[in-house]
Amino acid sequence: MKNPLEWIRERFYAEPDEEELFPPAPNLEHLPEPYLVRFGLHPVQEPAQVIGRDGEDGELKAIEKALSQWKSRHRPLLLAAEQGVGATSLLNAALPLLPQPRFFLEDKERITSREELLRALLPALGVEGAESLDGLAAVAFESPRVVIFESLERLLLRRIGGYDLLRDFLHFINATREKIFWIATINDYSLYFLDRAMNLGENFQTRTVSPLSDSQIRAAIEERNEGFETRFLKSDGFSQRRKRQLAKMDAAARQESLGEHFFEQLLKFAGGNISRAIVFWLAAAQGVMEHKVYLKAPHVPEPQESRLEELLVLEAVFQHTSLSFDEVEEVFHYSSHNGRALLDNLLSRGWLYPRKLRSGVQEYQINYWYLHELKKLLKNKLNRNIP
Amino acid sequence: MIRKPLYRRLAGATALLALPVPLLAQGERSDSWADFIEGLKNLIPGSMEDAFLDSLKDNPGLLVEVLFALPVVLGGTYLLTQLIKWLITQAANRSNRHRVQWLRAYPIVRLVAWAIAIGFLLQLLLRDHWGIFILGLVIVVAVVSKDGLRDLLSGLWLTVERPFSVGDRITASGYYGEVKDIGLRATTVNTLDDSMVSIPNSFILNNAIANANAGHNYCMVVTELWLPIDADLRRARRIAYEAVISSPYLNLDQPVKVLVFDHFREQLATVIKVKAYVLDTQYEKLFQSDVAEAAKQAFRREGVYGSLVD
Repeated sequence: MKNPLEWIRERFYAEPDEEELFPPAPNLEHLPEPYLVRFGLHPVQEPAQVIGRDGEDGELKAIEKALSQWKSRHRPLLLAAEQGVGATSLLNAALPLLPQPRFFLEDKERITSREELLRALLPALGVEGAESLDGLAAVAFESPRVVIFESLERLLLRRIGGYDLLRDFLHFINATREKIFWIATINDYSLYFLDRAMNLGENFQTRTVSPLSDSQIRAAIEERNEGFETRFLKSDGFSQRRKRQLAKMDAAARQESLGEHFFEQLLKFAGGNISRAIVFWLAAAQGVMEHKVYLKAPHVPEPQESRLEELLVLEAVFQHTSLSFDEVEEVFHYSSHNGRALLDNLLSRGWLYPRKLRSGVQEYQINYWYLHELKKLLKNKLNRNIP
Repeated sequence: MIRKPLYRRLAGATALLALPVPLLAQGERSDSWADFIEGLKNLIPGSMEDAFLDSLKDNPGLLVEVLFALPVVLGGTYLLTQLIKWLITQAANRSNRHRVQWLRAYPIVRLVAWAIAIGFLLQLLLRDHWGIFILGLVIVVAVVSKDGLRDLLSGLWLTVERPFSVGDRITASGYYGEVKDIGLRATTVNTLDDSMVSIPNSFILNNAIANANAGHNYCMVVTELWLPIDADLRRARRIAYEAVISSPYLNLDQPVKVLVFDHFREQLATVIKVKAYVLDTQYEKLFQSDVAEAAKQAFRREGVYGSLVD
């Protein structure tokens, strides 16, 4: 006879099977290159292609309003956005609305010292030869400028002395805010940390880049898929009853029903994050033939139980958006735990993945497959009141 | 599942034991007794037509009721409270954010379960003078062992008044640790060196108790950093502050204070007290150690210790 407590444990607290623990690998080899290009995770460059940011309450209007307020109050703007929600695309769309001279300092290079910061700022301000940030701040401009600084958190390393660069940059922004309209972006988790650790929000007027609505996500996905017909396949998780219902339908009704179910799952998984919607779509795409794409909703894994030390490393990655092995070692340098080994564990679980090289350094960031699930995990296990 | 032959053997043994008892029985059959037997019949498979239970239902006898009802009700209540405790512990482990709230619920649920069970038994027992006799006996035993009674009443009072709950960090009788259980006789505290200390409830009720987190899952942690009296305070303060905000154990939603004091007793010194909240009381000492270690390394690296340390 089975122990009743064991029965309850199995029934309500069952461990998932091994194959359910990892995110499905997209069938990229079955998808033609032109199709994959449409579903890349790179930001949208064409302003017209950016979806859901216009309108009276939209982010584009908010940027215009912040600009007009800056003319009298000289307050820089901080855009806080969840990773993958489309902040860079938004900035690409906002650029034509901003007056010249303007400069978009994209998050393509690492900035880890005052010298690197100065080197990055010189072209942004159109100045040659300044030898220090103070010297650069003293330069006079003929007309006001707009400078967009992407990913403020790249100036941070969470350790003693690791806040100096960000502090210097904030001083620089304050020293130049009358002649430069600064727009900075930051990851929402970094803002949560920095707002509490060093009152970052006090230096800016802050606007959160909101998640896209379900209809906007669907429109964005369908736009990328334009020119291809969709064929929805039965999901592995369908019950016998559902399969029987589908068998009774004619082909068109079956496709419609399967399509609705597919999008329902996609939108639920995406939670307003376009990057999550794209990875779901790619994992669902079984192949493309004669301009028809075959889609089957993938299994969505839940993150496994994890040790406290792994969660702490994970949180550090959230706070910095991405970290290299060496940086993890530095953040946890006085810890008895091997940060590198912990990062390895997280990589092997598929919670993190390698980011495109920046300044020749390999960094790791949160896998979109787990973005919301891991946030929820940290919220619960580390008692964080993240939004 | 209970097998019928086993049940029949148990019933037969009980009937043998109870044989002389009906002679002593004075009471009438009560509705709650009949309900209780009906409940037993529903619980035990295949016993709906059982003649023994039917006869017991119609002609109980007080001590037969006691023999049946006492072990079944007390045992059942005990099992039920253990099951609830297990479920609550599982829920607390799964939802760390609400861990303390879950653990706080258990003493109340347990009290209610026992109150219902004892109320039911009293209702059966107090029908006649035998019941009053037994109750009197219980009271006499309780008064004789009056420390036990005092602890019991204190335990009830602690459960109702709740100056602290399971999961809180308290200091009582010189012991500091996490409250693991508030029993009816004693409160069990798990100290930081992992000893389980059982403190009588009457002692707790009559003495001052310090509660570090008062029902929250976080608590304030004060870390003292000792420096030479002539240390560069500006630099030392910055290091101390950054050591705290960089600690992964910090509760970010609570304020951080860095205070500086002079110490003039045995030796001249500057003491930096860092007051911050740990994200979970379980990590209190890890947090303290983390801040102290990081700050000391930085003090040394940046020469804040001066000539004291090479």
